[in-house]
Amino acid sequence: MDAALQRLKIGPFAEDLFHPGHNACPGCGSTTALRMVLNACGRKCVFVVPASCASLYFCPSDTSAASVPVIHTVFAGAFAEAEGIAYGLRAQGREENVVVWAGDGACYDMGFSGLSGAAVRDADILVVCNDNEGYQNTGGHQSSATPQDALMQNGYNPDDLVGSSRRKDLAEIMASHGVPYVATASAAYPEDLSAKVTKAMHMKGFRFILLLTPCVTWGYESRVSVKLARLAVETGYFPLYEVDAGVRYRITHEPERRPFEEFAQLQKRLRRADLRIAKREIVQKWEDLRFKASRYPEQFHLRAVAG
Amino acid sequence: MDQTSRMINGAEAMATAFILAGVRIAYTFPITPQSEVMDYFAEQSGFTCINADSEYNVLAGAEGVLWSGQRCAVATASQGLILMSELMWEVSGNRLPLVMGVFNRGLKGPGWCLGSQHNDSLFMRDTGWLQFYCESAQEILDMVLIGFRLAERIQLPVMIAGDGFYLSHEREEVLVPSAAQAETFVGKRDASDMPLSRPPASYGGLVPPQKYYALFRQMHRDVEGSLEVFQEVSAEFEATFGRRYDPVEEADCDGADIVLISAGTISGTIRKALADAGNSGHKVGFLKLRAFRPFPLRQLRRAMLKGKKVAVLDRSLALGVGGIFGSELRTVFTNQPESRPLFSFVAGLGGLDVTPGMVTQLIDYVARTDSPPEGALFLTEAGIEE
Repeated sequence: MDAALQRLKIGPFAEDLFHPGHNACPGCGSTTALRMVLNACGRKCVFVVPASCASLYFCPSDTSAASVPVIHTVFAGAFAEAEGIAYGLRAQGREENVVVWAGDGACYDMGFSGLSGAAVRDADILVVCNDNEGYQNTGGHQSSATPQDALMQNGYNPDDLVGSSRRKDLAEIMASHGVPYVATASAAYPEDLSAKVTKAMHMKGFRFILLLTPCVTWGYESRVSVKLARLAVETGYFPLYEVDAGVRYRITHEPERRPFEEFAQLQKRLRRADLRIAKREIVQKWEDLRFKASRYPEQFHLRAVAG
Repeated sequence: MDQTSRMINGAEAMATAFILAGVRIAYTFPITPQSEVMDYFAEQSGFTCINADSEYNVLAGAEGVLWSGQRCAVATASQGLILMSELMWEVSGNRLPLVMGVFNRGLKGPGWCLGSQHNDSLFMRDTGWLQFYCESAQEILDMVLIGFRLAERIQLPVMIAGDGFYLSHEREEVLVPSAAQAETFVGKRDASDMPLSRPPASYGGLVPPQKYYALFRQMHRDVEGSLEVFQEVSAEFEATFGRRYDPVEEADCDGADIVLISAGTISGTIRKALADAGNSGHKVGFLKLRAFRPFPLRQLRRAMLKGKKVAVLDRSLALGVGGIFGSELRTVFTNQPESRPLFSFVAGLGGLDVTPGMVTQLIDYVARTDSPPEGALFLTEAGIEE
């Protein structure tokens, strides 16, 4: 355990790059994950934050909860802006890593063109998508990361809501861009998260981490935040894996395959959802993932992967 | 002066100016009539062109390059510019000294349009971007160089606008400064410590209303104050290169029957019409509006009061109000002991040609009409309508 804490750079005497004083909600699933991400990124980086909860909690007025420079920006522009910063820094021979901490709204929806464009141009940035499955700082509105039939602020009656159901698989979409690195991570698996961020920080080009973080607007007691993040993984709902150069898949955690109900029943938003649909999607997702992970052996050498 | 004479169009003049200003990175996206600018960048060696996925992300990317302490070239037109709207506010609010070239083109309102109209850049009127309107390719080149000095002195972004096609695609003789001359004039951007790595620096986060108010007020004062800085930089430019650029260019306004005001390429047409008329017609003075932001209120008032009547000729239309320069220029006489009748004309929308004959028509109309109508006057080859 001590060794794990040391690896995660947390503990009473460790240097933490994320400080008390942020003003996220009690039970916020993203701040613990952000702490892991920041500590894994280290001091030599610049954070870019598009409109999201983090626009409010990252740097409360006149202060900052982070030990690295943070540039707040508009909803859809963060990816190109981070790319521009990286180009400008490299032109001066500067090595700082540029990291975007964006919500699912910015990645899946409004900023999707910019995210895809930055990936196509192989922008030298790391994008961490803080995926809490909705526009949560407005009170819980549906994004295209929201699971099927979830009750959201803008859909009290799912029967009447057009387009309430389908969501897109952003990790796969980003992997299909053939970028150097794509990974999924969860707030409940700090070592896995930290290892993925560290790996990404040692690579060049476009890197993307889809990070599942529970949000209190899902309708749960704040004390079960991390438990939910864990159950999302252990039920198979949110697989933990990584993709090198768009082709080499590796499952980084084998889930216990617990019943999906354990995850769903802890939160109010899924109380009217048809869980059979979610379960079918889980099965399909894992079929796809197992196939992809079996295509190339562990030792498969990819010259395209930097480092 | 060691300047080279070249036959180039406005697009090449604009691109050349960015390169002379020491820029080595451009964010680009094609749009008529700006595409020639990015094509020129693409031909340069040792120059990084980043072809973004939209003009929106052109400006986002350029903002990023400026955050890193470097300069960045950006040029656009029409839809591209208004797609950037959200970021225009952020770039100025962050006090980033970006210089952008714009070739004006009509917007996709009632239909597609390729010709020039000033509604695209004037849509950015209130953003805190400084705006200058050019009449020639030479002016575009020179104003981009001046723009860099001004932007980096006052820490506000600058837009250099020229009429699409008339300027972007027409070749003319341009005196191009040598790289050394331009470098001496523009200087280096001193911002190598950006973004500040000294913790805990953060930019553009949530601020309380009092602070937000204060920041906006400061920007307002700096836009006003940029007029004086522009004049200083412009004087230095004249001393170095021998070409003079005042916020307002004045010709023959003393004791004029009519002071005619316009901006951009229509200025050349007006000069031609006035020269052809010689002393035969009415005494007409001409004011060319170069700086729209900062708004040279006092200079305009002084010059406008030299004549008996004022006529403004716009290539823009604020729907339900009239020409945009015209409605801004009305404020010149607000709360003043003296004022002049002001005629506000709208012509050349969508790039429709504005001919010397139309200018003559306008002058005749103003000369024979004692009090102007409240609204706009629409001027076409066929005549003048309210």
